[in-house]
Amino acid sequence: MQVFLQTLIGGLSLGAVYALVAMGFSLVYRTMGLVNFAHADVLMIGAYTASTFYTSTRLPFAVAMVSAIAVTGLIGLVIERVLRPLENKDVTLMLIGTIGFGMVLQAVAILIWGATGRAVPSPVKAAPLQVLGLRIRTYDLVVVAVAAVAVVLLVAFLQRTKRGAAMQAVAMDHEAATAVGIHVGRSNAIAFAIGAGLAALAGGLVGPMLYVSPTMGGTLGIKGFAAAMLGGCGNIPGAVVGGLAIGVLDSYAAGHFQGYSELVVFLVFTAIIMIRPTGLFGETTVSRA
Amino acid sequence: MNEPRTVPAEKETPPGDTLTVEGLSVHYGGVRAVRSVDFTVAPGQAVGIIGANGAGKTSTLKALMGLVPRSGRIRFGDTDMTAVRARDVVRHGIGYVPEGRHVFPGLTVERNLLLGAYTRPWRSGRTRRALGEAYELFPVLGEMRGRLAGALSGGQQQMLAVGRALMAEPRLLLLDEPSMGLSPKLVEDILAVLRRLREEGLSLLLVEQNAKLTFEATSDCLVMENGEVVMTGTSAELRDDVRVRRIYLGL
Amino acid sequence: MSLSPRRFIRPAGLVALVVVAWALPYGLGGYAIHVVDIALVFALLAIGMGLAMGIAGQINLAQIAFFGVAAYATAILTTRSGLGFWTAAVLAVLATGLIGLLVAIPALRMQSHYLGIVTLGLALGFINWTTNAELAGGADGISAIPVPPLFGVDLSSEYLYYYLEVVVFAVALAFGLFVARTSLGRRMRAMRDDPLAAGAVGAQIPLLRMTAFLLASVYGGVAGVLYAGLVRFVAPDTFNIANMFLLLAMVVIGGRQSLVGCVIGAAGLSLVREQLVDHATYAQLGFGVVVVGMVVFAPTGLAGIPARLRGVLERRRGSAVRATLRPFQPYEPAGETERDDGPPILEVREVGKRFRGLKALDGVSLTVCHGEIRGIVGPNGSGKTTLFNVVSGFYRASAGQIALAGRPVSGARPYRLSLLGLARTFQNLRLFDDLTVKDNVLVALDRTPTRAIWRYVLWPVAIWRRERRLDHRADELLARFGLTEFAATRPSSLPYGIQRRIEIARAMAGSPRLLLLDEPAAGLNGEEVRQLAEIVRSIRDSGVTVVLIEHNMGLVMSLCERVTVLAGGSIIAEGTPAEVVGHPKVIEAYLGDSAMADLPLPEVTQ
Repeated sequence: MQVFLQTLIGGLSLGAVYALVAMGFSLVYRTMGLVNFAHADVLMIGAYTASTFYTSTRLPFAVAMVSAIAVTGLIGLVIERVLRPLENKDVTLMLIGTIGFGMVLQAVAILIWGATGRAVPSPVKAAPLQVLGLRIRTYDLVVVAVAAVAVVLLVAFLQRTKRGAAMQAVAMDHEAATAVGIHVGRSNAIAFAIGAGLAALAGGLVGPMLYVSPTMGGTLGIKGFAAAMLGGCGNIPGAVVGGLAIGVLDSYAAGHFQGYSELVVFLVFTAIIMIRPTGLFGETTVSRA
Repeated sequence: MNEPRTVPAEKETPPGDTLTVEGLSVHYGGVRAVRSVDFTVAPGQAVGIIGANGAGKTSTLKALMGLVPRSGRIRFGDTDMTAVRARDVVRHGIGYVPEGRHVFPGLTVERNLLLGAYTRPWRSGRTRRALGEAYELFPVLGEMRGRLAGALSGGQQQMLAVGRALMAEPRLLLLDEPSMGLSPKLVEDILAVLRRLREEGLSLLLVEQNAKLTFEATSDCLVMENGEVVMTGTSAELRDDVRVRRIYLGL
Repeated sequence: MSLSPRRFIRPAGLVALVVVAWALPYGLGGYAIHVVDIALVFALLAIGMGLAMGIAGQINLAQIAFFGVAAYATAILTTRSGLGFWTAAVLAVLATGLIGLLVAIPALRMQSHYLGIVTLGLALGFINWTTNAELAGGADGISAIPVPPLFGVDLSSEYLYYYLEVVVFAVALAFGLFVARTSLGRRMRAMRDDPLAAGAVGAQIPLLRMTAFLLASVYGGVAGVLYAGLVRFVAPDTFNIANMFLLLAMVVIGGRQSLVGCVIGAAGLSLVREQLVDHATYAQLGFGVVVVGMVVFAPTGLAGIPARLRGVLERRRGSAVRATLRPFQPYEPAGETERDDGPPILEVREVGKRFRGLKALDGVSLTVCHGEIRGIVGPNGSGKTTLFNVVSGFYRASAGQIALAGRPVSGARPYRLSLLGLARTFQNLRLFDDLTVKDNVLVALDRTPTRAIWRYVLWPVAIWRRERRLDHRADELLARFGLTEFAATRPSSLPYGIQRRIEIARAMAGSPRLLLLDEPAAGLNGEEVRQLAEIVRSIRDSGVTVVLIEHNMGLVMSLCERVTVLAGGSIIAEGTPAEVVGHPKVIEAYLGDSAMADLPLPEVTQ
């Protein structure tokens, strides 16, 4: 039982990061129908930027994070602008286009920061908490809290603001949205920038937990995608649940299968998604061809 | 918003807001969906366009909205509408109710209506008033204001689509097949709404397959076939025309 | 462009290629030949990728894992199990094929980006296994793979290994092109363009998707075996995601829909990468930029550029050759009423269809007799197209049964129904836009069950012979529908009326017993409607039963013996056109005006 709970807690913090990745991914998917394969590399850039600001300029961690979000938001705008001609047309081409952007971002990261990674010191120096015999790292709590705040802010933005409502309207029906006066391109660009910002947030938070390297996006990104699909692509609460689920699954797989944890995670994910292709919260409409 | 008004107003009093369409054509790839269509909608006038599927009715409306590539002249009041982008058309006082309703299904009824007033601040008194008027015109929407639009019945969604377009306080309303898929009773309700809007001085351009609804809701009609206007006349004349009956018996 | 110079150029080009391939090693140094050997391996991988992604439209980001599975299997079987190289190689390719089929299972349930993520995830899982498994040597990999023996030829020489690779590559490319240009490839391309329509003309989609992945994995497997024999060392790094994306870049830049394009992309990028081996990061940057540029500006890749240029030139010249639609040549009427007493060709009993809360169809019963032309009319949104979708297997009915010529077919898939003699057209035209008009027809003419693709491996001659027969019949059919001059054109560039006719020709290519036409007259002008009536009558006279949804009442009145009227998902009337038009319920629901019924009936024009 003790081990079970300890594993669960271990999984939640990484799960919160996956949830952030999944949310950014879902937001872009929901508004543009675009699967952003560069998302993982945007995350990596965010992680590098945040850690650079934090370690070399001695900015407070929070400020470093905000700067990283701004930088990646800008990258998001560029990606959206370049791929805009393909919007609402060929999904496959856009997907390949974002993979191309991913290659570019990775190369840029290597040029700036070198091919070898770096470790980021934890910004929270407090000793781990002991609760009911469970060991909880304080930084993990910070990660979960920040992720929770991000979820609340995103949901509030989408539910309470005019811009948020417009963004959802564009996703549901871009022609009708145009007819009521919404600038579809601008709305998409903002969605893309927010998505990129969320990736940077995830990257910045995960930096002190893992090792920051040009290829760190790969696995994190794919697991974030998996989380989004598990929750039902485009569904924000689903992305959160999916992220936590993948995090916990990860943690258990690491405990039971050691080195093979990733293989196990992807096999389990594939099995679940085969049974429910639209995810746990997605609408069950499967085309039969 | 920068409104590209190309022609400065020459007269002291602008000639109302007449929609003037001359030589309007729409091409999709190599296909001409609309060929050189002319008509006008005077202030307060209600004009209907009837025709079979594929005759070019919907394309005509979409061309007016700037949603499809078009050629020809479109003027609304003093504005050259061909220079106005689709997202700005609503800012010139033209509302649009698309075919098949196209409400935003995952948003609540009230959100849908408010998005109709996207071009104005939502907290303004004007928007609040427009919202109240919409609920007064469609009481059922008031009862369902917190429901998701996708959960509404077809008739309610149609009301919502009309209500959404009215939120922008247009002077001209374009309606694309509001009767589609509705029962005769609901079509009657739609007709009543259209009559009331006319009484309030709104200009209407109604595209329909339902001949009865069109003839009763409008004063003048065009008949389209293969992208061309093949007949025009007052609704009363066309209603009794044997050719119309022959072509549109069973639209 | 006449045929004779072409007939000469082709063999000459082939001979030139063989000579170049033969002579190439003589001009290359030791390192250069290694680069070429590696490029050939990537070219093989790219062909597999092109078949799955470009031809069949299945996003496959696990190709590098297929490559890895075969390379690792060869390494493990030779070094750990002590098998001979070629025995190990055969087993490795078989294992990779099996893995390919397993990876294809998700493709049966999901498509496009979902499939991309799942395949990429599985590829990551494979890398995870190789870096951890003791059997796979962990991060150090496996070295000392034996040199493949070949009748005393010393394959440890990379020059001689080159010749082995070239032969394998040539066979693989030829087979790939053979697949791409014959029945299987045509069906896969049809599936890529429009899976629904492909199912409706008899392509068995699940099996085709499995085949696409099988092909991709076997090409990956052969490439992996060759790689193991060439480098004689495998390590996880070779099969990482970066290389997967590099492979993707090769295919996209070369042109994914053309196998030759894929090969050129693979060879080109491999060589460029070697040139920039000291600037690997800049190379990656460059590849990324080129990929983005390609998808935005030249989505068909290098291979597609000539066609695009030709298109631009033709538009400049105002399409010099103006093809014309020829008149339809009627079918031979079938012998008078061969069987009127058999079961009705179509029987729909109490069929209902719900979409979430919405009742689209409710207790619809309908019997269509052999040789009839049945009209189905009703206001927009009354459930006509839903009925067609249920009958043709696109939707599963929520209630009720359907029988085709007495045979219960409720819940049957579209391809099954197609093979049973049902054909349909679509309201919004679902032609395969990236296929020529002739290929559109050929896909439907091909009546062989998809499972007969085993012949590609065991008896390709039969495929070849059948292709020639099909080709001949396609020409006949195009001539009958007056479409001969458009045979090589893509349908999307043609006027709407011609596209409608192509769709009917495609439906008739399957020699159906029952033809469903969904608003065939929508968007047609008066003359085209007249031609349509003539075509439909001739089709019926040839012994095919026709059911059509139509709004053009003049056409319905003149064409149909019986008319069924739907409103709000239920049948409200059925009878001769005259009976139906006078029916008060119809007038109320359909014309929306009971007063109009008092007006004189239109004369029925023939």
